[in-house]
Parts: sequence; structure tokens; C-alpha cells
Amino acid sequence: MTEKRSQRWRRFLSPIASRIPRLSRPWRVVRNLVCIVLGVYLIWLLLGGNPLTKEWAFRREERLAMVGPSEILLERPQSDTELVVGKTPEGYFLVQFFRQSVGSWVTAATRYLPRQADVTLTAADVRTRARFQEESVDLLLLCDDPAVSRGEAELTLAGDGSVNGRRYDFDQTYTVEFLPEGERVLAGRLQPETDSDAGWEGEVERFALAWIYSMEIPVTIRLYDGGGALLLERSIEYVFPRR
Amino acid sequence: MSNSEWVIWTVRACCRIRLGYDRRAAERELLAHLEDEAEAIRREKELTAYEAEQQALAAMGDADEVGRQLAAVHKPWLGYLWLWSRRVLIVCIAVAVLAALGFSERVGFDWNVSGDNPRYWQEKSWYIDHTTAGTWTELTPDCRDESDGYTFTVPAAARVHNEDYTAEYEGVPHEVEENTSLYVTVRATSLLPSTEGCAAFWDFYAVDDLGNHYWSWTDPDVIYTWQYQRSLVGNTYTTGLWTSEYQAWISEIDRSASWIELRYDRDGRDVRLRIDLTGGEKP
Repeated sequence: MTEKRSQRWRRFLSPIASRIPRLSRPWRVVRNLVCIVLGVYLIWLLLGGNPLTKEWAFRREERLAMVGPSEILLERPQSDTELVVGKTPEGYFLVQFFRQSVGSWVTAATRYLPRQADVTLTAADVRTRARFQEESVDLLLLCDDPAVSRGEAELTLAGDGSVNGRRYDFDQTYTVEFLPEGERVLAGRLQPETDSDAGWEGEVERFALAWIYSMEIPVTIRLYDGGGALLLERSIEYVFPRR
Repeated sequence: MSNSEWVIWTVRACCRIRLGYDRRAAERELLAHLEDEAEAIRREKELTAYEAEQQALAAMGDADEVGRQLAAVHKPWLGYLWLWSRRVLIVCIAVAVLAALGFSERVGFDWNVSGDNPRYWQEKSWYIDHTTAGTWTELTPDCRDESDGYTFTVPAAARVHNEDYTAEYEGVPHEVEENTSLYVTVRATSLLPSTEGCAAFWDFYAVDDLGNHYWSWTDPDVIYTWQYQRSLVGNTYTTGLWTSEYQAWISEIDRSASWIELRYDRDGRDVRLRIDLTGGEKP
């Protein structure tokens, strides 16, 4: 039965096969290897085409978002992700990748920040996700002045409302210190002043920290040189970019 | 079928050929050669079939010597490479077919659409399904622009005029004032194949000839000023290895405008797709 089927198959194929020029064995090997390479490329492409290096992944995101070309300023591991910050002609392009144990780089989020005159502030975790409470918020200051060696930001988190029927009225100003990390990037961390087991107060404060991602936050930024002299003071309304 | 002495001789002559595929082919070839030789001898010398077979076999010489010569000619590594490359290629083709099926499912190719051109059907169905109310005018946009290896076109667009009506949202009726909306399908065709669509679509905004600005819906100004009615909102889809689409709309355009231009201008780009709002035809 099997033989008959194979014979039928050969009979079906022979008119087609006879039209294809018969190659010598070395050329058949070359043809097969070329087809394998093309096949593997096609499979990789159809399965998502995830880049194999971080730089490649960053450049691909740049091309898809039609920004750049960027100069990469910072590569920063953050929990299970890695953030790459690039400086484009008119802004900054941030790409956050999931860290894979092996293989390809999968993008978690991208953000484009138009460059502000002297300094640009951003949250370091640029993923879009539900943020009800935050234990801390990492922030970045991006500035071109090479003389800057320290930064400071005063953020005012204010709001009122209710959670589970219980009212809150929160208004607090935080000072975050920024130190150099990478090229022309300063990093700082906004942390709650209450302990995590501080009950209702602690809960509301962590709830307020998440407003960084959803509200306009008044911020005063100060930049200092190595001798501690003030180089710049600027007040802005910080808005977490949507994309 | 040949006699058993021939079979023994050919097996012995070919046993030094390591690649099974080549060994079997050489055995078949030698047996065919013996058959031809015996037939020729039988006709030429008028011998019996048995005698002719014996003479043909004797003419082939020593099986071991022939075997050594055959083994020297056959390169087993090339044969193995060829066989393995063939097997790997078959697996590759099978996996590629499965991946292609998965990809087509992800991008939503509808193989069952019959009659009309499926692409045409996809380009328009999303907004035809989107709303049933209002007066529709199909526009004929003829615009294209290029940037970053993408060619942008607008294969479909429609203007919808709504009179005052009462809509129901989550069971609550509310009055909707007279307005004119615009629906567009923007296509990006890429030079390089990719399964990721053009992400820049999200940041397209629009202007019209009267100076009105329609924000990209990802613009923070939209979020904090509640300008959703006057923003370009939409979804992007990968529609093939070289194409992706942005199915977008502006809920409220200025009805006196004669054109609207979709724009993208980040980092020095200047993409402009001008859609003529005059004319068009009722579907």
C-alpha cells in the first residue's frame, strides 16, 4: 500500500521534476543550505522577528516609531526589564525590554519625550500598566550640560478623594536627589516617607506616588555643578507621556 | 529478477559504500548493467540464459576490487550532508507553513470572504460596522507620502454627517449635537518585511484648511483637556508582512473644511496626507 502510494506520488512529481535541471550533488547541497537559511529567516520573521541583540532591538523600535537616529545614553536594568535611553535630534527615545534568560529581546514599552529647553524629567519605568500603588518611583533627569554633577527635584503630590468609601486629602512635597548614571543622565528615587506597615497613611502615600503616571505633577528642578553651585532652577508640570 | 549470484556479487561489491542511499543506487545500477551485458552476450554468442549470465558476471571481475574502486569514488560526507540538508529543509518548510498559518491568524486574514475583494472589504468594513447612523459620503483620497522606508497611502475614507440624536451610553440616554465625523484607513507599506506594524501611526495628528488642529489621541493635551472629540483616534493592525494599517477617526471635524491633512513630524520627519473632503459619493 505504502509502495503504491509512493509510486503514485513519483508519477505525479516526475513531469514537474523532469523540467527542473538536475544538479550535481554538491550543488544540491548548496541549494538546500540556501533554502534552509531562507526558511529559518522566514520562520523567525513569522514568529515575530524578535531581534537577537539589544542594540538591534532598540534600532528596530526606532524605525517602527519613526524617530531618531538616537545616540544611546543609558542602559539600565530595572527589576525584570532593561531600559535603554537614546537621545534623538529633537527628544529622547526610551525603550524598555523584558529581560529574557536566553534569546531574543522583547519590547515592553517605548516612549518618546520631546526635549525640554534645559532638562527633561521622566519616570524610569515607562511601561503602561495599572498603577494603583507604588512602593517607590525611579526618576531620570536628562540634560546636556556636562558641568552638571548633581540634581534635585521637588515634587508636590496633592489630591483628594476616597478609596473604599474612606476619604483622603493628601498634599505633600518630596525632594529627590539625582546622581549621574550613564552619559548626561541623572537618576533618583522617589520614596514614601511612611513605612509600608503604617496603615491607612502608608496606603494613601503609596497611592499618591502612583499619581506620577496619571496626573500633572508640579516639579521644581535644580541642577548643581561639582562645587555645589546652582546651575539651573526650573519649574515644570510633569506629565507621564502616553507613548 | 536477477539470479542470486548476481545479488551476492553486487552486495559484496557495494558493501564498502558507507552511505545507504548511494549503496542501494550502486547495487541497482550494477544489476542493470549485468542484465544488459547478459542479454548482449546471449544474442551475440547464442548461449543459454544461464551461460550468458555466468559470462556476464565473470566479465565484471573481482567484487572486492570493484568495491574498493567504488568506495574511492563515493564521498560519504557529501552524501550525508545532502541527505541531512534535505531532511532539515523538509522540517523547515513544515515549520514555516505552521508559522505562516499562525501569522495569518494573528493578522486576521479572512480566507472565507467571497465575492468582493477581501482587502477592500477589510479597508471599509471597520467603519461601516462602527456606526450605522448618519449620512455617509465615501471620499476618494489620492495622496501618498514616504518616510523611513514606509510608503503611506489612504485607501479608504468617509465623511459622516449626524443630525441631532439621542444616544444611549450604559443605559443612560444623552443628547448628541449635530456633527460631522471623518473615518480613514491609512496604510503603511514597508520596504522590509516585518510582523510589527508602523508604530508612528499613534502619533499622527491632523490639521484642516481652516486652521483647526486635531490632536493625536496620545498627546498629553488630549488627556488633560478632554479634547477627545477633536483628536485623531484609532487602532493599528499588521495586515501583512509588508503592510500595516491605521483605522482612525475624528469624531468632530469642522464641516466647512475642504481638506484635512494627516501629519507626522517628529524628529524632523514631514509626512503629509491630504484628504479632499469635497465631493465624494453616497454609498
